[in-house]
Amino acid sequence: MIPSQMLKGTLEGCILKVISFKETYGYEISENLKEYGFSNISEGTIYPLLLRLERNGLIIATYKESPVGPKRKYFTISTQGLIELHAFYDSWNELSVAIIKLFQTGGERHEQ
Amino acid sequence: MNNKTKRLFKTNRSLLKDVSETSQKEMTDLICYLSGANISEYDQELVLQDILDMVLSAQNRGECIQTILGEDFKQFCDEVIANLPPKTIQQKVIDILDIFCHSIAVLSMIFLVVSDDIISRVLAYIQGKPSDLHVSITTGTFLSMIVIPIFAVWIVNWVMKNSFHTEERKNKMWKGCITGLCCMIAFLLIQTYGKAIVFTLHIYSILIIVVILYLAHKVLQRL
Repeated sequence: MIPSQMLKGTLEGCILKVISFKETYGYEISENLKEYGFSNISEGTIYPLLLRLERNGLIIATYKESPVGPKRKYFTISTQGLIELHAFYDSWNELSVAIIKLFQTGGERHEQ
Repeated sequence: MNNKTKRLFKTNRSLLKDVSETSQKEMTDLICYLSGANISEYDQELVLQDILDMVLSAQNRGECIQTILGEDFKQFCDEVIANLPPKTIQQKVIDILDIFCHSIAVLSMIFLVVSDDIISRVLAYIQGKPSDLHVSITTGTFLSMIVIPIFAVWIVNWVMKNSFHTEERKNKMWKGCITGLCCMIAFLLIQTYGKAIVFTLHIYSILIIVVILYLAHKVLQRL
């Protein structure tokens, strides 16, 4: 299980990616994330992040009728959101390259 | 509450009845906590609508409220509130004015009804007998009109902010008791020593003031 502290800072980018596939809502986003290996990301964890993304203009929310009663909030990614998504992925690549390099070759310099 | 918020409020309260009994207490605490947050009434109802969608959908899947919102509801609410726009200064001023107008109107009627022999004086006036319809406003009455709304708002805010049953709330209970005791002593002192008459008002003037303040409250409520 990925520790929550490690997820902080990356979960918003991952949520943006899921929303970029198609119009979706909170429970569907958490189920999608589970399929990719993000375990135990509940709707309650995602909901405040969705509010923040909406407030920052990265996603657009619309209310539609739902089968259970209350109107359901559906999200689509905005143009600004797509730009932010690309920026997140670039930052993630830079970070992952640095971490892999450190763990795979970091000891060699010190041995020398 | 404006019409848009009122409609959402009615829909949400109707849907709340569909929440299972085991989750009713948590939902009540949640609503209470959100009501005390520094966000607009409309945003409160929008959040409640979203939470109801999550809870009722989870119920249909056989999941409990803790599965979707976690164990710490206060933390969940704090994170939600942090990501919503706070009330504007204009909204806060309207809220304060609304509370002021409503509470003074109600308190004035109460003080009018309980003031010295006012009912018998009004009956005598109606029967054509000579009667003095002036009401004395004492320093005690004046101070009570200020202290009572402040204390009432303080109690309501305290209840809303501490609606989740946490250890922190248990420790605050004794502070609440002491504050309540101090307020009781303050009221007793006001009533005992606040007998000096500041001015007198005719009953018609008081009724006109009450009506104006109540109408102002109704207008402010819709903003």
